[in-house]
Amino acid sequence: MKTFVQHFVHIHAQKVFIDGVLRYEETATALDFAAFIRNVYKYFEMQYPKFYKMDDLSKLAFVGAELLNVKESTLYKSEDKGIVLMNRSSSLYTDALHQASIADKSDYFPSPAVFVYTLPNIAIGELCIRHQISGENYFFVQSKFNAAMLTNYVALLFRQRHVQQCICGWVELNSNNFELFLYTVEQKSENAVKSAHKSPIFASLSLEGNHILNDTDNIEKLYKL
Amino acid sequence: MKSAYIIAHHLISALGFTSKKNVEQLMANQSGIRLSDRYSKGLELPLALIDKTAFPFEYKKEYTYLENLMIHSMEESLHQATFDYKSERCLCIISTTKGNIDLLSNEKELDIPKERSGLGNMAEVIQKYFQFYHVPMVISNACISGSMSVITAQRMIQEDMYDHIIVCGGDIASEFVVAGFNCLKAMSHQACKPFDAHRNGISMGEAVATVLMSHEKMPSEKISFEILGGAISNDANHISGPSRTGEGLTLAIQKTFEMTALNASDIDYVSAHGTATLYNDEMESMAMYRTALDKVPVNSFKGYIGHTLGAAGVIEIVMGIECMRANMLIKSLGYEENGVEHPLHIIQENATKAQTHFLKLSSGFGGCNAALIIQKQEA
Repeated sequence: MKTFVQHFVHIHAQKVFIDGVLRYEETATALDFAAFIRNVYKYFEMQYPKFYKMDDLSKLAFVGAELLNVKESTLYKSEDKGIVLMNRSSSLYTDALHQASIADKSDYFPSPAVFVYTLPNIAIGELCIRHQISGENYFFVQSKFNAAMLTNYVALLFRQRHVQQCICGWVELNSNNFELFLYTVEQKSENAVKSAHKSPIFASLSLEGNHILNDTDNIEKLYKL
Repeated sequence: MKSAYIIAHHLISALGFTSKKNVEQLMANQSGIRLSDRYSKGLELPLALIDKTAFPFEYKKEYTYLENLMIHSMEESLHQATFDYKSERCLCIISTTKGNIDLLSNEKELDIPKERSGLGNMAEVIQKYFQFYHVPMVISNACISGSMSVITAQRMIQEDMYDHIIVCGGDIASEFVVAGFNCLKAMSHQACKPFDAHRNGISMGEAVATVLMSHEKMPSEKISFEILGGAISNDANHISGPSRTGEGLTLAIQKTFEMTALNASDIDYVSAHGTATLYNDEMESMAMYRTALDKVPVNSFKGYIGHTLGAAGVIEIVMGIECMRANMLIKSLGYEENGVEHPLHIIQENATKAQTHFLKLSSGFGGCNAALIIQKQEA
């Protein structure tokens, strides 16, 4: 069964790309993650007050998924939509905040609002609520982006009819940097990114009728864009 | 399509260091939960801890506490089988929520770099130890990680992606999780009481559990266990509170029934998630009611081993199949009086019952749910 990449978003090095096109670039230098992601949220006029309560990993995933523009999709039933994410650092960034709150017995202040985010799949939970996704949801942790593991498993989910649309990708955040690469996959190719007229970066991808096939090589190349 | 069987397993929990010991304790209705202030100085909480003074193996200093347990459990499992686990046809799946979380606070273990708190790094250390061909797949999906790993393994074996998959689930008790659940007011102050009217929270546990899954039955065994299928869903409702309607879990159960062409009347026994929080048990009983499972014998193993997070699904699946092998229904420890809107058929005393199909349920933070069915086959 063939599946296709519909849209893809990159957020890294203070830049936001949608379908390979630069859409936002932070001009202020040395901005921390929190300030950067707020600027992106405002720039794209996102409206979801709960955003401000999320931890940083969820904020990153949230903004990425908003830019994929999946929320209008009524083509699929909620239970046929899935999410498969991967990263390197799990929720360790928020884990460190929780750990700091319990390190000193004389200044002990563990907070439920922090603790609930000490699991990586909470970010998935946030996306499921936002986009009404109630199907298969997976969080894989690997020391680096593993395109083969991700692509092979997502392909299996389609073949076995567990999903008909899937948000996939890499959502990494640690104390030094952050990096997001999210994409949507569907079996139908009508909605997919038509790449021929786009920038030369698409030249190396394997295509079918100008649509990007969801295979390991393509995902590896898209990740590195 | 190939079939996927559980051909061997090994358990480490507060009940003991082997599957045999764990099952004996279950059958004798012995709980591993004891009051302890080890992770909450000055406050005694019920915890189901592994006995660190009784390791039946040599503790390797270059590995963390959790890695030592995982390595031992996987070695003991692999000894029971003959396949080549270094082959390209074998995959290891590690199921954990917090991995080496003790490294965040434990200043003593400085021999081990803090980077090992990264789950991917831990997985690579384990890969290197066993010389696995593939880097292990690490699944970290809250409290459904274990059930999800077994479902994932079944799907991949079914499609002939691998011949053998080693699923190892593990999580340790730590100040980190105890303080966290305590600040959520989700920790019980007495041994947990799943589905009971007086339940008031979880008892934290720790465990490591390994199952070996294969595309073929163990020829020497008279009884085999096949994973027939399973499904994963999300409530899409709240990140830390389960859905009040049980919608997500209901969906996972219904999909599992569809996939396996079975229904509630085919299920002989249900191993519930049954954490003993007010919300989980209410949600779970609602989902069981909606799927006509409220008359099927059900228990929660949490009263024996506590909530073992990323290990929970794996260890409870093993306990479920061993009960099925013995045709035993095991008392749901801690239950006395119905405490949910739709009463379930909670197992109140050990009983014998011939069993063919067992349903495992799991739910977790992030709104995730999993269900799977295992079939007993006699040669």
